[in-house]
Amino acid sequence: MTIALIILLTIAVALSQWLAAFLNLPTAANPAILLGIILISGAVAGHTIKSKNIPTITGFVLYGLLIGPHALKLAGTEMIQSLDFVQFLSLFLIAFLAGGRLNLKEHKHFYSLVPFISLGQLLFTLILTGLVVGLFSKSLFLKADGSFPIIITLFTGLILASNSTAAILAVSHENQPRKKHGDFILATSLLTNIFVLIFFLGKAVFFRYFYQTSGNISAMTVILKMAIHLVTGILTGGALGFLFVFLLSRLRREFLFFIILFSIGAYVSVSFYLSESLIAFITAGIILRNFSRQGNYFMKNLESHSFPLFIVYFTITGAGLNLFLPREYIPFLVVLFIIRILALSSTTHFALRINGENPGTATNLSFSFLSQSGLTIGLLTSLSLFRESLIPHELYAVLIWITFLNLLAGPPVLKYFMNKLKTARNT
Amino acid sequence: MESIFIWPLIITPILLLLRIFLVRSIVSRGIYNEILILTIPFLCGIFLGSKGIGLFTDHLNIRISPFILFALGFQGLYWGLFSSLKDIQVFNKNLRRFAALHTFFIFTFMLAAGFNLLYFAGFYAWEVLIGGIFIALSLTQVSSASIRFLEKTQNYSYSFAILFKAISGMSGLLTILLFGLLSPIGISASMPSYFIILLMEIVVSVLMGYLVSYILIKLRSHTEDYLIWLLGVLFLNSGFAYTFGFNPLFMNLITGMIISNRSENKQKIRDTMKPLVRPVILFLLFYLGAYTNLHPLITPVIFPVALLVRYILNHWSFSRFFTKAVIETERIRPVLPLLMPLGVLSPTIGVYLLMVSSSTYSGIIAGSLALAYIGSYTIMLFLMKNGGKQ
Repeated sequence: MTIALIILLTIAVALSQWLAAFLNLPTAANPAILLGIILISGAVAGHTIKSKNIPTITGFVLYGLLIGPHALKLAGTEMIQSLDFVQFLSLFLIAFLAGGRLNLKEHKHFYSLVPFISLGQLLFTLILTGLVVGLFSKSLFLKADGSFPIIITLFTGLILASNSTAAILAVSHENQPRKKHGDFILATSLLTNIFVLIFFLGKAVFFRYFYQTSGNISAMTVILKMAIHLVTGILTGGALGFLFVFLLSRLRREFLFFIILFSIGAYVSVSFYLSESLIAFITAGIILRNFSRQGNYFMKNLESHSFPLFIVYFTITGAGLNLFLPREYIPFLVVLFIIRILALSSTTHFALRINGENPGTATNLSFSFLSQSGLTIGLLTSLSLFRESLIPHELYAVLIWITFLNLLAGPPVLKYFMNKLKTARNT
Repeated sequence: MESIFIWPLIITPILLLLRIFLVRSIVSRGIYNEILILTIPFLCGIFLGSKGIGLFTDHLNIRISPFILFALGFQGLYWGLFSSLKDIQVFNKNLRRFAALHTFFIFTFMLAAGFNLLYFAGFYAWEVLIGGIFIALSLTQVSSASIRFLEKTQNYSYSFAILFKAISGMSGLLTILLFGLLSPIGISASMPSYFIILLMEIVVSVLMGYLVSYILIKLRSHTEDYLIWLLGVLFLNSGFAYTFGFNPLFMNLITGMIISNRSENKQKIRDTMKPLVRPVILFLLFYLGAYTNLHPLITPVIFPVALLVRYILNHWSFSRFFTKAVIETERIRPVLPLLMPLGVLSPTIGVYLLMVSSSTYSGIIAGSLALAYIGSYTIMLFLMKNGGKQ
């Protein structure tokens, strides 16, 4: 019955859009209607598809694909673009929430392991990607002078190393894993993403360095610029975090407004600096959680009200995917997809085993980082904004396909292994 | 010229902030805190808007438009959730009659006052007509939030608070209904089209109300699902309203009333929406700040006069009828400061005016409404503080 109602509602929305266009109303393209239908129908799709091993976010993504510009066209490309602030806000609140979940005083021995795993994941992915790109470069990406396309390796490797903290938060919210394991997965995911984000700092100055022909940027300048941007991001996040600590001590019911206000400020002033802003919001979340008496309570409250945020975020991400791919790139796609799983899981498993974790737990935890979503797409588009084409369009198509596959497969895999961890603990 | 008004707006909160740290009494600190909380979003709006650094552009306005519509619709829905037939029937006949008469009395006089004030300020006839209606509507509601400040004083009485809340709630309900009946005038060319628009508004919101209440009855105890469905219907209603020129407050009010009437867990539904109440009010003040226009006559002179007229009318109505017909005593003293603040519908109606009209006069009226809202709370809190000392 609920599904029948949703279908009726969707038809009503489509009819209203048609009627508004027919009457030539200036307010025809209205994102609020789309947001409403996404919230309700996405939630129903999520609950319908939800089973023991499939999380609700898979339903959101599939629903997004269904209403997107490549299927039912209920949400056209322009409509999705009109929701970019909503997606921006969701991404930032999720970053803030992710930072706010980390209690640095707990699980200290586990946290000491996190940097090694994150760095290992990044390096191993880069190495394997280098091998694969080298293998395929002759047929797909060989430069005119026959040189090895290092920029392609780095870009592909970094994109593959990135994962979806949002998916981890959403699945954890649904599955409630053991706190120690949940925090470990989240911390590793966050740190790996921060490592990846560092390479995109300063409007991706790192990639510009490899692309330049006249040699006007030196390696030292690049390192300096990246360091300045990183420190600025962290310091801004620190200042923001302590401001939030102060505000939270004075306010209770109004605090959410101030977070939204800062997000609006970030959207209008620093949205070009996506990486820096994300680092700042993660830092602010960590500080609020660890330095405010009310931080824990506030974050729990925010998390309990955050589900609509995930619905909107994943549905818009699903709707925004353009899944066109030339046929000759399919083998390359398959190999990249496999080596990503291999690199991320083997590094995590290896590090956990060295740390003395039992084989079962290590195996279950090692498959937690497969999901990819909005952050990866944000990083992908950040390079496509350059006037010069740094990366071939076909590679973008391949990486968007990989993101899509991971967006679909990652959350169920995570849920499956979280369930296994739970079962192992209970027995 | 505008900087003359903007500088005091900036300096006052700074002084208040300093005052918070210097004041020892918790009650006084709470009062300064409250004024500061209301002032900061408005100032942030001015700072980011065209009067400040100009970050609040038309592009951003379009991008955040779902949130503006949401904030508008939220007031209607929240009001509707507290206005089921059972809720209204709880109060006795005298109380209901007083609330209705008081609302129409204030609305009529404020309409006359609004027309005159805008006429003397030199507005064009059309602006006087529309602006007058908006001013009258926004000044009609009696604020219910003010009662919580009375809790800390000696004058507080639980039974009086309940009565006052009931009157405030009903005056808000009647104001939104009046607003809903009046707003189609702006877009309809003839009487039949007026009725068609009104009918469409009611039909869509009733259908939405039945749909959501059916689902909410099925969901029973999942707070998370309540939130999703309520937010979803809010966005849908407000989106339809924006597209077809309907009134989002009115539509969501009807939807909220139906949900509240039909749902078994209405307290749980209300609690789900409660954390959003204050952020939404602050967001409305922020938006008003971004688009505010200050007028040399309206802002500093006319609106205080309108506030004074409103206070005198409220005072007269309460002392003449409320004390005798409803509470059956002659004591009006504790009510006095409570009659000063504007209701939350004032900034809401101001934002609605900005949504339907982009001319300068709408910015002037909307900005003045926000200032009047903050100012009226400030006056009430100081009156209460001084009352407490005596």
